[in-house]
Amino acid sequence: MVLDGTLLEHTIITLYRAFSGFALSVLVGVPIGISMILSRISNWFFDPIVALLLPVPPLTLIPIFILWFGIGHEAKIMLVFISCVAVIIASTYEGARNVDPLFIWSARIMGTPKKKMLWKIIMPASMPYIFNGMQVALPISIIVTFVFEMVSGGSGLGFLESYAARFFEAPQLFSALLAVAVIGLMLDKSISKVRSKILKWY
Amino acid sequence: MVQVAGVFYSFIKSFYRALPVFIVFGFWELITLLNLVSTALLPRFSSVIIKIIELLYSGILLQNISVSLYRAFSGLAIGILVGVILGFSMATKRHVERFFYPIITITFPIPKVALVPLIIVWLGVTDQAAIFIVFLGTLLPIIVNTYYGVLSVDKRLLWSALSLGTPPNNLFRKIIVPASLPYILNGIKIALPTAFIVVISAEFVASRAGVGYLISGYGALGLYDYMFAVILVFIILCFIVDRIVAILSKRLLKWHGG
Repeated sequence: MVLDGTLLEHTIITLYRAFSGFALSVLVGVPIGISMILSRISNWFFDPIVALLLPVPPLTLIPIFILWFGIGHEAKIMLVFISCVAVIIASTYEGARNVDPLFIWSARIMGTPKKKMLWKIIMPASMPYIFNGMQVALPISIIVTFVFEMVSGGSGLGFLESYAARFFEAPQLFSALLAVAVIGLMLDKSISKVRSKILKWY
Repeated sequence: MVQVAGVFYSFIKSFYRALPVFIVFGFWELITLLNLVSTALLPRFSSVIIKIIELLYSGILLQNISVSLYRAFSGLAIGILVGVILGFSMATKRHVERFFYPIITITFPIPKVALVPLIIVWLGVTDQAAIFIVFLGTLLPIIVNTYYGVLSVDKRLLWSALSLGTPPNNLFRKIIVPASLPYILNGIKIALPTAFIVVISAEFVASRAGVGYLISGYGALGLYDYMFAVILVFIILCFIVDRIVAILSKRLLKWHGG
């Protein structure tokens, strides 16, 4: 399976779906989280929605997403996005709220303009929390993609596994399982590497 | 009179806080009412509510929810029992730690949901299969949190207890358990959603009862308003369970400052 390239092919498909959804959720979630600090209306609007969305197992939404987006790439990417975005918003908000007021005061005293405050103070200071959120969300993205593929089929590692289980092809089943385990391990290691590189000052 | 006003005020306040959720639901009703979105893709919110009442009345919903909850909570209970014991023994006994630590680091990043087809091949489409997967999924966060909780017990607490003449047998019960309780509860807090996720996905893949079975069954039959009804009820259920755990852990850890 490794030799004829099927495993690699399905791994790439799974990773593509997981990463696109994850990237989308970071791109949307971080600005929303920051805006919840800057504007009261945004806070009022998103706070209860995030609170409702956060404890929901995203996998229950799989049938809805099959209905809306079919069983191709889009459905999986959108579900990954929905399941990661609440985590990212919550952790960004938490980070931006816990910025040391001393930083903000001293920046203000030294005359930092409001626009620069966001990029120079709030964003870097809430970075550790955002990374926490990403560390939580990344495995979620892989799991969601995997289960979606298991349920709906249509290529990817999850499909490979459930297909193998249906025909009692143990070697194929275990190879898919092993591939997910290796992906999970590598992602876990690499994100903590990236974290320690970027957050050197922390 | 003052009390009534206070109750009224707090009701208004909580309604104001939850208002955005109602706005989203209202928006949902509106776009389906105006036929902006086909009701084949998104059933009307009001019809979903009617279906919820219908399902509650016929008892199908409660029956399947109780099946899922039974699986989730029994798996979680076994996971907590085994996980706490293993975590404590890992933190206190060198041999146990040396044996389990590498196993845990290797198995931690595996998505436990990926084991669903495998376990179903082993145990069949049974309650035991679902419970076993939930057990596996909840075990690791609880072990890890208990382990670090015990390791991070403040040494000064132990020293002062010893110097005040606490017998070493009581040390465990009086100091180590309460001091690591916040960590253990945190592990349970992480494990609880995991239990729900694992149960639902196990029921999606293969099951004859439960919420996941109900959702995928209605989806397969094309009864989308029923499907949305079940999903909505389940979302609310998860929210309530999450709140209950938050309140409980706040109560239990009052001395710890939340």
